[in-house]
Amino acid sequence: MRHRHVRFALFILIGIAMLAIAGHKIVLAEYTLRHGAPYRVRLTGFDPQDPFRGHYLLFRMPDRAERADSGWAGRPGDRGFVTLSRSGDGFAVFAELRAAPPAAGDYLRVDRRYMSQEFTPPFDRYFVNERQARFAEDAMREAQTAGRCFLDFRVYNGFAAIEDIVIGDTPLRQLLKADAGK
Amino acid sequence: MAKKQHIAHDVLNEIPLLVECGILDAGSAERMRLHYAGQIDSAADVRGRLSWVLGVLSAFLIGGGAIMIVAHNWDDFSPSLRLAAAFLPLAAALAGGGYVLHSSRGPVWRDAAAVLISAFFAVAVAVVSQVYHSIGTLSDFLTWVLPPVVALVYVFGGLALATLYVVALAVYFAGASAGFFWPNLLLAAALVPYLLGYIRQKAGRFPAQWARLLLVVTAVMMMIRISIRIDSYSVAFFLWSVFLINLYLGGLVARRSSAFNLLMSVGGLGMLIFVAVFSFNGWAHELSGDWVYGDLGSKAVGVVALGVYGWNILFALMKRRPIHYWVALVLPGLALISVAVGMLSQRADWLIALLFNVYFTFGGLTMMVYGFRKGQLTPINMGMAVLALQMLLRFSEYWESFLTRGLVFIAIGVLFAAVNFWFVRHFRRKSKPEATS
Repeated sequence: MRHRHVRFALFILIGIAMLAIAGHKIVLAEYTLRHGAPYRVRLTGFDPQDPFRGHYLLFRMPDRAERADSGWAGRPGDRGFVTLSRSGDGFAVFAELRAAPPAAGDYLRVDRRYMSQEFTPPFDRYFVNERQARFAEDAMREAQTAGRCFLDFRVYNGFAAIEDIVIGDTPLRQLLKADAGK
Repeated sequence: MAKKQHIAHDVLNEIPLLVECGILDAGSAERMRLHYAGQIDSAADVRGRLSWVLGVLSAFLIGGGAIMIVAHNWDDFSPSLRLAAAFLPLAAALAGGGYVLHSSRGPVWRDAAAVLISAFFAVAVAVVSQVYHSIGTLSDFLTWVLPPVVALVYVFGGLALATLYVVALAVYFAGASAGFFWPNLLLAAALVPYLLGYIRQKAGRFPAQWARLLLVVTAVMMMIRISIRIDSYSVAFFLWSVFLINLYLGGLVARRSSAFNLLMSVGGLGMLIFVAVFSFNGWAHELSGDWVYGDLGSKAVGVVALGVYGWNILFALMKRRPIHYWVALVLPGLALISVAVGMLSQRADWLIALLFNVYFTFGGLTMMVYGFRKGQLTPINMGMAVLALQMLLRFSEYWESFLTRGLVFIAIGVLFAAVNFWFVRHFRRKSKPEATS
């Protein structure tokens, strides 16, 4: 009987942990979107899909930075930190790739790649409704040709959250809403 | 099987009369009683097993359907509503799991509840990351999802969730980079005490052998992970280890089952492990044009699977050939054609997918029906494993919408549950008159 109670108590703890894990992700994303520092990068993209999470626009964002730790003896896939600043035209600059977070300024937590100055960016996809995937892809491709496709994101304490993809001057979310209303 | 059980019941009823008439002595009567009672237990065991299979499959299908409906990406709803919709199934599954635990339900319920809770937890985390586009890698996702799942394995017991956990571990290990070294090892090690305890508890029975296989797979994955840490080119070692597990499994099944079981199960489980490892990148695509020049993993899938089946065909030719042998001969033929076509043209993806759909569904159902008719547990389990693999593969289909696939998954899950319900009632009704006679 005591064994059964322990098992049930453990089950309740697991349930709380499950809800907390999913809830923690929401809180972190919401906090970053409200209080994080805003940045913008240029994008390229196309339209594949994820077997578990639906259609998305796959894109590329900058993935190189100068190495601040020349003596790094780690392996590809080790965690690293990339510092962030802004260029003169307002775009994000990934400045230094290092093994530890900087004492001051914004940074992102990333995985390091095979090339020592490369890292895996925090984002590579933007989910869209499968009915509108083709529309979003076409809009993105046209904007990319004109060099007018951007990603706005916010950064807080090494964590980044996407605000929106911007096509020209219009957020993609707004374009999709207008397209859905047609 | 039911007929055999009837005969066993009749003989058991006759034994006291035979002793009374002096036809049987007390010793012989006791031996007969033990023999026929064993047959009845075995039949009941098979029914319990099939019931378990159907219960877990329906939970898996309904969970998978929910994942795909979520993947449909409901833009019609606000993000907060979508988040609420992600949490509701999890909360409901947790409540149901709590009830199952509290009311001390049987293993079928416990396994189904554990699988369902895990599936809905994965759905909730996936929806949150989808809503915020904060995806990260599959390894990131599994790092968050797997710890509570392994804890559920201990709480609910059984092997259904443990088996799915090992499949997820295989994907985690194959996709994870150096940064996940310790999470990889710790999450694999977390399952080992459970499997050891289970093997000891069920010593000598089929579930213990299944648990032993899971233990071997887990241990080998851990060894490989450590070796990759030392040498990043040890992928070949990984593949050969999986091949050895395949052979080990063949030996395991051969010692206790018929040639047919060996024929179907070795290839089936070998494919399960291989495809679980490589499928998430769209293995059908890899088997197409890039197959010849592609990576080692894709080649290994084709070569090892065909090798195992070729060996099995030779084995089958030396034996009698009833219908299920012909089925087993047709299936590798389909595999050969699909791989050959895949090598010739990149546009053959649809044909490969179609052939393998037929291949897995036919094979899985044949195994289950065969096992059910013969009253053997092994083919039933293998059939379940192959059908479950079929379900996993369907996640990567492109040409139907997520909504359609999700609804079909849920409908099949409900159908499995209904069959299970019918199955349990049917045998309960049949066994009642026997029990009273």
